[in-house]
Amino acid sequence: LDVEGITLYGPQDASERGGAVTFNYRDLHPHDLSQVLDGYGIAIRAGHHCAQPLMGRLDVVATARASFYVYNKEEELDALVEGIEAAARLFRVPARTGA
Amino acid sequence: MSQRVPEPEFDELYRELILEHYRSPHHAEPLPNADVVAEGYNPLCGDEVELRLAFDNGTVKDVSCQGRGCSISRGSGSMLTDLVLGKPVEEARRLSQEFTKMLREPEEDVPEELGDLEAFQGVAKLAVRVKCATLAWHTLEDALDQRETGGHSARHEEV
Repeated sequence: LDVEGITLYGPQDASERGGAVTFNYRDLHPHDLSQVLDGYGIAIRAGHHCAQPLMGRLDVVATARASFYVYNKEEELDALVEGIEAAARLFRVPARTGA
Repeated sequence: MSQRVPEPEFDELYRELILEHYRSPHHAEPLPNADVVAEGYNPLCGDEVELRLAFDNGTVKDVSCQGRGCSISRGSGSMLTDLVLGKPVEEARRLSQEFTKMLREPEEDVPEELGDLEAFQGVAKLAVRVKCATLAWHTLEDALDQRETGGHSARHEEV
């Protein structure tokens, strides 16, 4: 994912990860993001992923998680990025994080 | 993607009014010298809210609402501050009960006194987000309970 404003949790190197990508997009709450993506037919997980202590450790309210497997196509990844951008437009997430 | 899937309609759920309150919440500066500070938390989704209220003769003299959470919870908290400011506490409590009722029975007419909260009618149709909208209000009710018993702080967990 090369969208500006994405925070990736866990190893930053793809060779050290599996197909599950946990992230946040700026200040956008994962539930709002997943709601928008759902409208586009894209399913991601959002929330605590049964890992509240880790959420606390990362100091985040919640995270989003997209999981990929052998049946996913590259255009579906493009769709995910477009969906994130659509959510950013809807919520007018500011270009810079912070107050 | 935009060729395959039609542009979804988010108007119902995310009315522009809710989004405005989310982007620029009202009364978001923490109130100094509050009589009651109440924290609300939804452990199932992580929404957090902190309400600070000052009272004068049975009326909400001043209020602030801060929080971390989704747009629905923050929008609701912001609207709460507008609606309860200057109102007698009984009326603030009643507004909370009316709002909770509206979310349970979305097909009914929305009482006029709920004002901008009417924007949450779409949320009522999505059960999983209702708790986001009520968090600030249930925290408010806890705060009002505290005031009655002479307490100064409350912690509400929404389950």
